[in-house]
Amino acid sequence: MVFWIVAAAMTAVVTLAIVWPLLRGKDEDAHATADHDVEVYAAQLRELDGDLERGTIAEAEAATARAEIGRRLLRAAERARSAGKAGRAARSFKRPTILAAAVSVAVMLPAISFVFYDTVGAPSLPDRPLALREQPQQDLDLAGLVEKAEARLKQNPADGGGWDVLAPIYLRMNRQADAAEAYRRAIELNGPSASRFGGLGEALTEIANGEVTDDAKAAFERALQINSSYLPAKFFLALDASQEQRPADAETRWTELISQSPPNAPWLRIAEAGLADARQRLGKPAPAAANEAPAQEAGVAASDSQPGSPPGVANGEGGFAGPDAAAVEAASQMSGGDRQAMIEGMVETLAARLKQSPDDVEGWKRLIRSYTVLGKTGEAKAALGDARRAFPEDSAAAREIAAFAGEIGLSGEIGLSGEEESTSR
Amino acid sequence: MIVEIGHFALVLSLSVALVQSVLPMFGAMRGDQRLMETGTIAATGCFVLIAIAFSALMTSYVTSDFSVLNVFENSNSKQPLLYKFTSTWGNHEGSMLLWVLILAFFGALVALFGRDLPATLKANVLSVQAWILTAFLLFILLTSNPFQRLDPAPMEGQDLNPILQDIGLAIHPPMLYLGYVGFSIAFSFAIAALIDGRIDAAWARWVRPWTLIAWIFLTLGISMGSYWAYYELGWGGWWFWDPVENASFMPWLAGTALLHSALVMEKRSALKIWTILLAILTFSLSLLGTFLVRSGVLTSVHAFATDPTRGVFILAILCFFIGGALVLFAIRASALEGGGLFAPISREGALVFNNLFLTTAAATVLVGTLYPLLLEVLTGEKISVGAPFFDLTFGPIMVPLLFAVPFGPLLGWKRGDLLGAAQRLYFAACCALAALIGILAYTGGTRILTAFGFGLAFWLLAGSLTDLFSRAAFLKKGWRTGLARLLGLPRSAFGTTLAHFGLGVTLLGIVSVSSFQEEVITTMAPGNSAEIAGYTLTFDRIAQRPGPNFEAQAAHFSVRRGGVVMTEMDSAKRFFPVRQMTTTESGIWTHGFSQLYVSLGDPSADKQSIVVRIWWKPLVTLIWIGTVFMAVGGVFSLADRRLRVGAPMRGHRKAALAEA
Repeated sequence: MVFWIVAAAMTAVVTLAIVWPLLRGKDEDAHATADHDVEVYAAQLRELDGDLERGTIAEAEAATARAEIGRRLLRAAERARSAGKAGRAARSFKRPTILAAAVSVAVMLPAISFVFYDTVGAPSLPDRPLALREQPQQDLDLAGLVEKAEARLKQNPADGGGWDVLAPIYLRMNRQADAAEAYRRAIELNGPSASRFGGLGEALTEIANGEVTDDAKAAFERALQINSSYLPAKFFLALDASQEQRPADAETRWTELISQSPPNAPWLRIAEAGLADARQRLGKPAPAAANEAPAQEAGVAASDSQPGSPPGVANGEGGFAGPDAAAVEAASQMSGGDRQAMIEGMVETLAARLKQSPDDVEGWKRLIRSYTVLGKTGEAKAALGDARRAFPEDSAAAREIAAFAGEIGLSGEIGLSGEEESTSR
Repeated sequence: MIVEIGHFALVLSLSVALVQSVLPMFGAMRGDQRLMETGTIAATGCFVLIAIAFSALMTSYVTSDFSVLNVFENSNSKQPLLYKFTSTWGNHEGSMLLWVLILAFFGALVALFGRDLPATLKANVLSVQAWILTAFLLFILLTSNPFQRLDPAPMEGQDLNPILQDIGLAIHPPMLYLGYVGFSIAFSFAIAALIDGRIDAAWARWVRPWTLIAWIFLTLGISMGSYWAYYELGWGGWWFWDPVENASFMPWLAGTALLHSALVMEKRSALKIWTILLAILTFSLSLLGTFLVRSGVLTSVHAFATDPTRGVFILAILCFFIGGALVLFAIRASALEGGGLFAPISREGALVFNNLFLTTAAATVLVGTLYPLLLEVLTGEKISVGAPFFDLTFGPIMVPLLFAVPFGPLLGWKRGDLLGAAQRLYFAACCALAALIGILAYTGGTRILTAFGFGLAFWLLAGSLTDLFSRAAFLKKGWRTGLARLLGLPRSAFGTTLAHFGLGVTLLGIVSVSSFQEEVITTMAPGNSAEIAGYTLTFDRIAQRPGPNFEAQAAHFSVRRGGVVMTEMDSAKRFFPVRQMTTTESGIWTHGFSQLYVSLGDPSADKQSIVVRIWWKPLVTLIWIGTVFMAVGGVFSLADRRLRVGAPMRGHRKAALAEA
């Protein structure tokens, strides 16, 4: 917007400046060309005397030159006189002609400029000086990034793309209310889509502490209307059935979800638990080991792991492996086998995500710690190796990971194996 | 937003240039003051708008805004700040923007300082100037837009071509362009005169200072380019007869001729038609130079053929302006009024002689530059025309011209006294002869050409001073009166002397280097020494030195004469990782006017030693010092009071005119 104001101002100033003299009334008096000639010839005569004095021209030649210049001078003076007599106002264009010229300039100049610019320019593209782009590289601080994005969206709240990017990040930062709002803006500006409605439902579910509210349910249903095979929405709708004690409905939904999910889907374990729970309530035999975990608890844990969200930024207080008290508590109410399965499911999700986007120091640290906590030292070492490969050898991230490995007592042997791998590459 | 404002300003300047192309010329046809007035405002506006666009691009470079494609392709965030600035014109798009900026700058100068010009002449000149501006703005916006955007912006740019990351290149292109484009004013004046069908008496008085300004910048620009190639390319040569160099040398030769013929026209109103033609030719050669360098036709005719948009566009501009101007000339020239008469032996005659030889020389260079291109286009055969061709053709043309130079200023206007001039050059002849004999004795009579070259150089040096000396009449009137007379001489006389003296200085440098240069190419390991021209050069050590965006390998040498350390010097190679390119930073030790030049080659297979090329270049700096003399001479000539005449009854404004 500011750009267009500046552009319009520039155009206006230039157009006015050009049109202004045209709108003036009478001609100012100007010297005829012949006047200039007279002056030049007179100067030549003066110089001739100077040359003669310095001896750069001989006496006889100076005389003929003087005669030559004198003849030209007389002719020019004659022309100047007649030009003066004739008067030049008569030769000027009539006022309507001049006005036509002024109007065509006033119309054509802006028109040509804006049409041409429209074909070659990119008015909506902001500047991207290095100083502005460098910060995220220096610190991967999510909050800072979000602040910048928020500032930009404040200036230009109609930037649908910005809301689209920000919404899932809010969700991950446990700013569910903001996430819901961002999803709503994105839907409003960019139109409905399964992932936007799914995200909105997820945010609403989290606001309600894991309960799939009616609003959330409506959102998930919209998502399914748009894309009937949108699995995250199906997950939450199944969860809703479990929560509302509709075991028959829940059984169908969980079964459908499980049959449609890829074998490594992160929500599978929870879905299986939900299915077992529903069957138990219906009096049917559980498919696998007995499952006493209330679906409600499974729901809370599941919404923490955000099954439907694209891989990206890790949940700040995620309940992957022990650090979060609430998650541990939730898990502790499950049966031993389920708890282990749930935790492992989350760890696997994290591992899969890091494989896709390995540029996440915190994620790697969490993964390594998780493996250590689970007692899977071999996998912890492998993860440490992967983490080292993910960053350049002497980058800050690599140093951070090495230090972290030292802290939890993995450093020595892993360091060696890491180096071996890097040399063998 | 800054980028897009710059972009918009550039587009806006195109519309303004369109207005400027039409309205003032219509006004001039009917003598309508109001329409003619628009030219002044539009020309100023164009300059301001293009300056905004250029500043926007420069801002993008300085802040490393890689969302601009041009910035991404030609700079890097790790470059030193200076080279972020110079990257702006270190590439095709940016340099074309600089080109139009300077074009608009000259247009604005005419608009602002041309108040004393006949109104119709000024209006016509501004319109013609706007035609050129429009053509090149279209070229930029349609084929070489520097404001092309990239979204998303990459993190890092591709760096400026390393050999351009040098202080010499920071100044060289703007200078060169000021020269090239400055000739556009002379061209516009010529076309304006042809369109008007008459040449105002003030015409030459106006053309000459503009030509002088352009010529001064072109001289310095070429000279700086030559020195840059000398120390940056590491080949130790100062002129390669490379097409890019020739592209700037041809307008210089024609411009020098124009300068001299404009003098005749200004003083004697003679040679009018020839001067007009020369003005057209000079700028045409500038355009041709721009075409050769900017179309990519030089790098490879085939590359040009695969992506011909730019080349064809420039070629079209070239044909339109050169062809159009020559056709106009053919139609109108006969209608123009002829000038004063003069005898063959006279100042005018000498200047015609000068013109004849300079234009022939320019034609020679033109043939040598274009022939290989045409041959490649027509037959696919690739030949290179280099120094041997030019030595055989350009050299012989220059010799009589250089011989005649001292005579010119000594001849009178209209009819000169050749014998009298020769007598006054008696002393200069003695100097030349002494130099000739001295060199013959020094070389044992084996280097006749060399001796002749030195003789010619001294003939020029002494001969150019003769004019001032004899005008001051030191011998006749004694030292005191002589000095007073000397100071009373017009500044243009000093200008002539300085410029001709500079020519002698440059010639002396050229002759000396090409005859007495010594060269040693050897493999050296740390501790080794090499002998050259009485100096012992010891290779002390080699060290790695990190730079901001390169890794340097610097070799340290100490130079001894008779066991005494004269100096220590570094010669380095820089590796730029982004472009995977290596540049040489020659080690140069200036001793008097001579230089010891060391550049590093490739290391040997075992990396224990390195190829080192060492040159002793006697008096080499004179080549460039001479050009500085020429340029200073131009400035003196420009400052001459007599150029300020030309406006009727507006004495108080004359000072402003002269500054233009």
